[in-house]
Amino acid sequence: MGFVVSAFILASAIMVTQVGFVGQTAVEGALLFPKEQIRDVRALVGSLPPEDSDNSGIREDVRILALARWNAVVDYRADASRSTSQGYGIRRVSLFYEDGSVTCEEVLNVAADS
Amino acid sequence: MLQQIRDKESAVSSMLEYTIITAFMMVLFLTVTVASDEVFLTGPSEILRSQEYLDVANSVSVRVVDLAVLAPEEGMIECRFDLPGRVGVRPYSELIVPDTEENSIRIEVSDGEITSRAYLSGIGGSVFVPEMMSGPGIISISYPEESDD
Repeated sequence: MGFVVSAFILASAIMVTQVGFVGQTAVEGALLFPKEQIRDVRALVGSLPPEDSDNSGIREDVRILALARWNAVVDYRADASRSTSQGYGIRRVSLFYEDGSVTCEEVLNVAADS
Repeated sequence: MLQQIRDKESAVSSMLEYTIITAFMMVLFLTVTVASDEVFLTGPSEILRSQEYLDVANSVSVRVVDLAVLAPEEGMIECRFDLPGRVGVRPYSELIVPDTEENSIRIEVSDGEITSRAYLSGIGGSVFVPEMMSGPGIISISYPEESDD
């Protein structure tokens, strides 16, 4: 009887080790999702200098920084700004974010000085 | 003569003692054997599995909410994530069901025996999620939903 009970205790000890993993998946999902990163990139794209073109070096800096800090590939492409009929400057910026688990491609309409 | 018999009765009493104790121990042994499966294995295993399914359902729900919060107006966002292949030794399935009665979206994770449910918090009424079913492994969810055409 002692042998049988000890076998069951061994089996339940294996189960107790599994208990530690409960909650891991949900917490990973909440913590590892790159919410802040994507918001940072959007904020940055919204505050680009108006004359920014692909040759200004900012784009390359952003790419290197994102790769170093977040392990993510970040790229953007800003069109030339144009005026709306009300006289506001606006331009379209397409941005790309990819960090292996999340891919985001979007086109933003950003206010710019006309 | 009588005295001689009284001297030899210890043989009978020790055999009786042996029989009674053995019977008692066997009853105990059988009780423990039958009950121990429920007490030591099935009960904890069911609790563990239902918690783990709830965990998986919560992780799907967290990702859907994050994706909906970040969803761009123009463009697309896609999230790929890995769910544990098995819980214990059993495979399982996830089912995302729009729940019209609760005005929410329900995520059910089940292995056919135990089902755990989680609801999308907050965004259930405002985001349309088509009904879908999936299994363990790498799951990809995207917004807007990729169309086949």
